[in-house]
Amino acid sequence: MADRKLVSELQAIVGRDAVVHAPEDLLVYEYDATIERGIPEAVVLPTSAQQVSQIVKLARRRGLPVTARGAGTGLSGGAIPTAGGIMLVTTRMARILEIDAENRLAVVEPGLVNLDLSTAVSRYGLCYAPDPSSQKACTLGGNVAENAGGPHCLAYGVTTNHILGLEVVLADGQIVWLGGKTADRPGYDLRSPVIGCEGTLAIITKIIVRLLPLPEATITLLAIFNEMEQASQAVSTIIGKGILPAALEMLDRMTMRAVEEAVHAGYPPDADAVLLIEVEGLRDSVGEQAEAVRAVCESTGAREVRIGLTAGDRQALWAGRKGALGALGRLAPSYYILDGTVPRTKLPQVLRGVYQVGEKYGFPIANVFHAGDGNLHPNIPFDESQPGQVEKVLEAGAEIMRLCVDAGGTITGEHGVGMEKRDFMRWIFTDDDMEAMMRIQVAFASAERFNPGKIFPAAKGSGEVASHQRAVTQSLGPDACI
Amino acid sequence: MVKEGLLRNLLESALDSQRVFPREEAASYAVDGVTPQVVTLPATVEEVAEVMRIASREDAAVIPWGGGTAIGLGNTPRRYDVALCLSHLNDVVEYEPADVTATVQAGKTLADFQHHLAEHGQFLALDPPLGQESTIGGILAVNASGPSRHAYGTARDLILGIRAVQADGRIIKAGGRVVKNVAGYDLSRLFIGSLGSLGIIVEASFRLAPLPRAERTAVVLLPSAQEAWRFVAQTANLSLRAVELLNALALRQVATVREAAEDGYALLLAAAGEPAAVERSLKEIGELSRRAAASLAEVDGSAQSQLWQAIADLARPSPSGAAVVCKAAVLPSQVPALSERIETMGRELGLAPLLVSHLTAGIVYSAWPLPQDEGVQRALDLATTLRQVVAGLGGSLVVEACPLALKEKIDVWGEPAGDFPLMRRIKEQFDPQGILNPGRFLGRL
Repeated sequence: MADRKLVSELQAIVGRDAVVHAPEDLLVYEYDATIERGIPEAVVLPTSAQQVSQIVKLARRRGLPVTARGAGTGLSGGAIPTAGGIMLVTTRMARILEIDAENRLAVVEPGLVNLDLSTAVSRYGLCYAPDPSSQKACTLGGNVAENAGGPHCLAYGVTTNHILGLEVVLADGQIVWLGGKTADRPGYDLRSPVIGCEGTLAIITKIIVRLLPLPEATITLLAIFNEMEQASQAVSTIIGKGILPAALEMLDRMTMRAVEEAVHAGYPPDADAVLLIEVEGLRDSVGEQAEAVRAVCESTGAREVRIGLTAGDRQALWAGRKGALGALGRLAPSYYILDGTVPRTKLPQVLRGVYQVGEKYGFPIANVFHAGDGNLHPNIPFDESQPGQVEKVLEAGAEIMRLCVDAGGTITGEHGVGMEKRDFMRWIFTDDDMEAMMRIQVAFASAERFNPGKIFPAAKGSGEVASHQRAVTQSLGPDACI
Repeated sequence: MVKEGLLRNLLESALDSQRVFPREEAASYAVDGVTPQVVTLPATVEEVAEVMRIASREDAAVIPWGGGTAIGLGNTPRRYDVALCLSHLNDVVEYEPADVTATVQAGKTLADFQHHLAEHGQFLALDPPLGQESTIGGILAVNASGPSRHAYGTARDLILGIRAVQADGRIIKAGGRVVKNVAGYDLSRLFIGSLGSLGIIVEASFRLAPLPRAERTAVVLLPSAQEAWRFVAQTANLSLRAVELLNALALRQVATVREAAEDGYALLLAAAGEPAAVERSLKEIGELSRRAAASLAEVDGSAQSQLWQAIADLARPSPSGAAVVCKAAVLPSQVPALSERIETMGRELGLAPLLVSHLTAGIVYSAWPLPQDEGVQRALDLATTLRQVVAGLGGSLVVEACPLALKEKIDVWGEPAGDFPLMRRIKEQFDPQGILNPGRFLGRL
């Protein structure tokens, strides 16, 4: 809990109604979509970059760390204030400051909800491409901090490919622009290290995003397979043939069964996997592309391919995918979501390994993921109240992460390193690699000031223990997850 | 100043002496008239690291070389002892076509790499000037791009990870080889466009693209840049790979089209992708041209690829050094006004600038021919005026090539902005001795 002086100093900056300090109120801000916990001394909700700057200066004077938070939908503990201090919540900075349709860009504040931006620009025939599944709730500031992905990143790239410039507050309170509206600005690209820095380098106060024209036509296909291997083969063949769908998602048998019980998406109970594939482009060519996708699926053994042409039909095909996590949430009191990427050709091998890990530890594992990107999201339903289960789940998770790394992949495709994966960083980076990254933190002078305890492994023997993660069906609903 | 003999001996003891050349042979590695003491041609990443360890210990300044096609970009080196030539690092390290990704060493030329990928119907979607000679490492160091950036973006959109040798010789990697990866700070994109001033990229992994199944090019002649912009605004949904705007002078340089205009502008549109999408795009371009009463020509077959290489090469710095080449970046919608302003400036200065723009990226290259023996004044006037004009639009202007005398008077990158102190701290962190390309980057870092 905050001392009275801190509270009054914060109130002097942002006003009385923008500081939360009562212990019972602070509890609201101690979590994100993991089960990590950490209580800040005070929560502050600024409305401008100037206020953010003053808060940062105040925190600096008092030697308190600042942790930024958007909607709290993160899946790696990025917004958990591990060292207490001040939590800076951006949700009152949620304006769209400018839409420049002619130059296809928008200037927004960090608290703006992802989907609200796409909705606002749709009347100009534009969209903001990165679409995390939590897009109804997650904020763009959080998206930038975590370099968020989403199903349609297969064709359009992740957040970093869509950010032109950032206004940020540095650890000394200075407000600076990194990048801007125009391309190829001379000097170092400082925007890129801040994107995906998980709030450790700077606090984002404005974002210039690139917008894309909405596609003229979209076709969604749902291919049903008797064997997981066939579905994996279809994924590699589609990508290898030079067909680039806008999205290519996979659901496995366990996910489908859960989905059937919950939302009745029409999946056959005896199928092993479905692929959800979306092609976009000119109406003259999407039909042909959809045909090519269908042909690949059939040649690799799909027993049925359903095609959605109208918005209603397409939505029906997506219903199972969008409801998947909610459905999985019904299987057990808790579940643990993993996030790793492997080369696409290694998917069948790694998936086999994932199920073997499940068998070894006695957990059923459900896979629903961005297959086209090789970005896996194994979900392990479990019962936290059973003694020893959490530890077992974490062990199984670590083994799965290890499989991804051994296959030439990485420990996080889109959720971030955050807290729990800090110790896995050594699997993919040497001490020299990480030291080079820390140089950025030294240049930004942000260590221990902004979101300490994230990304980098705890110093050996420091006694810190990476805690665990579990996706919880919070008030945001289960779809707010992957 | 480092002792020449000592440095050479040290390098020769570390590398095969066949790959260390003394000053007498170093003239072709001069940068802005400064000749290195030694040229090294390491054959492995470990040897690059060894050269940097020695350079760091001896406080010798190093300029990394790729194909040398953009070596003139940047301010005059503050000091220059060792030319570190990466051309022997030219292997494809890993290529799995079904993953549509590849890892390649920095000294590989883009053309060689593309040739390798084309066997599997894929390519790296970068088409900078002089792709025959320019290397992967050089392209990344200067963040070179070309007309294809309309559809594919720049190297920062295609990179998956890098390996680099740091100033002290330690080898690091950032990112990885998979298409989605958010582990750790993004050093790959930071290193792209840093002119080798933070470390030497020795290997890079890329996301590739399938070669388009069809491509056709339309050349639309329009009376003004403004009309070209209005034309392009109606093509947002079409399947276009490139949208280039050329003034009449530029068009005449690359023209395989019969009706090279006297004045006005040419819009060059490459439609690429699925045959049906290309067909439809050309049809719409045809209709738009009729409505605008613009003359339209189509280029296909082998003439097409030659034309696009010629367009990409228009933006290359002149080898003679007698011209000024400027790269302005503004908002795309400001390109017409800027183009017309530049033409006016040309008339006022009695010079005929060649103009070529990556229109939808807002990048405007202007190349200004100057007589060999002319003094610096006119070059200075035009660079200063153009920089003011572009700054007034909120953009940036880099003088990519110019006579040496002009480099003594201006920072070719422009004036540092509010983020410069941070850039300086980044440089100090990665190269505390200032031995990598010293003095050449923005603010003479």
